[in-house]
Amino acid sequence: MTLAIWLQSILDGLVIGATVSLGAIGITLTYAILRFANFAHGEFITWGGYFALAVLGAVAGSQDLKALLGGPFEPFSFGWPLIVATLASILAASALALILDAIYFRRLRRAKIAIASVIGAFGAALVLRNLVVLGYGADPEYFSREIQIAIRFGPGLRITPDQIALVFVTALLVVSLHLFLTRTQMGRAMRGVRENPDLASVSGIDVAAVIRATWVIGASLAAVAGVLIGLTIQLRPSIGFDLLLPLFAAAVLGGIGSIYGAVLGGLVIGVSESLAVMLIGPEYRAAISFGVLFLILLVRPQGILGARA
Amino acid sequence: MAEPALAVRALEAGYVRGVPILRGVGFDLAAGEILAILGPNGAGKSTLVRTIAGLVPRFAGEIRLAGASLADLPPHRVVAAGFAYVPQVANVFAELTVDENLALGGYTLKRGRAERAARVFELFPDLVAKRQAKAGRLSGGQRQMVAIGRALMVEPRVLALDEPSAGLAPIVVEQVFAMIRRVARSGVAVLVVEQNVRAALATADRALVLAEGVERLSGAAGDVAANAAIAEIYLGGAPAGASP
Repeated sequence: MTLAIWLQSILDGLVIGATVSLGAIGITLTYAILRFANFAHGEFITWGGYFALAVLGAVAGSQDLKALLGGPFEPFSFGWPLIVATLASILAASALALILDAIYFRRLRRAKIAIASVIGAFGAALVLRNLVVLGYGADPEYFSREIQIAIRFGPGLRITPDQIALVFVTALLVVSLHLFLTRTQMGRAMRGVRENPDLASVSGIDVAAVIRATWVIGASLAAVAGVLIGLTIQLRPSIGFDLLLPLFAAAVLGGIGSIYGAVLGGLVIGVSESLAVMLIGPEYRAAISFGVLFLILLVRPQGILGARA
Repeated sequence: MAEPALAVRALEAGYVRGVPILRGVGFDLAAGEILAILGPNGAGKSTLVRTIAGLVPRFAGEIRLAGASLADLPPHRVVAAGFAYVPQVANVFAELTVDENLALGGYTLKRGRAERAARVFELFPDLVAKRQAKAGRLSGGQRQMVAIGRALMVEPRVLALDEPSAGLAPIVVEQVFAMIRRVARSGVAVLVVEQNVRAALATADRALVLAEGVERLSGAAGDVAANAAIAEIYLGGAPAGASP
C-alpha cells in the first residue's frame, strides 16, 4: 500500500474526527458541569442538521430570499443561505436543549439515580429521532446535490473545499471556546461550577445560569456538527444516534471533563475508524474505535488528558 | 441605636424538614466586630453560617443584613447583598489560578474588579508572586489567604469564616487570625466558626457558644473564656441550673 493511501485515509479520518470532536465537547461539558451523561446529545446533532435543512428549504422556496442571499461562494458548495441556516439552527438547537432540560433532564438530574438518567436520556433520544423521521422520513437528505471537485495536493492527496471549510470551522470553534473559558467571567464561572458548585454559588455565581450556558454551548456545537455532516456527507435521522457511541468513546478516551481531551479523542476516533475501513473493511469500523478506546483506557484509565479522580 | 451589620433571630434550620439542626439561635453583630461561634462537634456552628449563606434551608426565624432580610435568598444573591462566606474545606478553586479565584470572588461586580483585586494583594502581599499559580498548589496558609481574598472581593459588610484554622500549623494559625483582625479593623463584621477555642477567644470581641443547636453561652470573649461552664459544654455536660 502506498504512502498516499495511508495519508489519504488519515486525512479523511481527521475530517470525520473534527465533527466527532464538536459533538464530544458537548458531552464532556454536560458531564463535567452537570454530572449528567447525556445520551440524547447525538440528537442535537441530528436536529441541528435538519433545522438547517428546513431553513435552506425555506430560502430555496422564496425568490426574494434567494435573491437577497445569493449563490455559493466558489469553490465551496455553500453561500450565505447555509450561514444563515447554521445560525438559525444554533438558536433552535439551544432552545431545544434548554426546553428539554427545563421539562425533563433537570428532574432526572435531581433524582440523582445514575441509571434513571441514562435510560431517561436514551428515551428522549428515541423520541427526538422518531420526530425527525415523522417530519422528514428516513431517506437521506442533502444540502446540495452538486458534485464537488476535490483539490489535489501533496503526494496525490484529495480534499474537497467543503472539507477544508469543515476543518477550519471546527478549529475556529475550539479556539473560541478556549478563549471563552479562560478569558471571560462566564467561562471562568463554568470552570468554577465544574470544580465546586457550592463554592461557586457562595462566590456570587448563579449556578442555574451557568447550567443554561452549558446547554447552549453544547447544543450549539452539536448543531454546527450536524450542519457540517449535512454539508460533507448526508443527513439521515439516525446520524446522531449512530454517532452516540463514537462521541462517548471520544470524550472518555480523551479524558471526560477535558475539552481538549474531547477534541483529541474525536480525532483519534476519526482516524482509527478511517484506517480500519481501509485495512479491514467498513463492517469493523465501530469495533476498531472501541478497540482503541479499550487499549487507551488499559494504559490510562482517566483518558489521555483526564485528571486522576 | 445603629442597625447591626447582621441580626439573626430565633433561627431554625436543617437539611430535612422536621429535623432542625438549629433550634432557635439569635445574635447581633456590629460593623468591625468579631464574633466567635464556638461549641462541640455537631453543635450546629457550620449549619448556622451555611444557613445565613443560603446553602441550608431555613425553617423559621429572621436573618437581616443591615436591616434587609436575607431569608430564602439563593446563595449568589446573599453574596450580592453583602454577606461573604469562606467554607471550611475546598474553599478555593484549586484548578484555577489565584487571579481567577479573585475574579470569581468578584463575579457579582459590574466594574472595579481590578481595583478590588489590587486591595486584596495589598492585604496579602505574599500572594502577589503567586497570581498565575493554581490555587491548589499553594501552601495551606496561602490557600487560606486566597479563600479570604476571594470572599473580600465583594467588599462585604459581613465576612463569615468556617474554621479558618483547620489543618494549619500553629504559626500559620496565628497569621490567619492576624489577617482576620486586620479585616475587622477595616470595618467588616466578622463571624468565625472555630474548634480552636483558645485562638478564637483571643481574637474575637464576643463569643456565642452553641450545643445541640441552641445557645448555651454568650458574651464578651474574655467573660466566656473565664466562664467555667465552657469546659462542661465541650465535655457534653448539662447546662448549669438546667432542670433534669
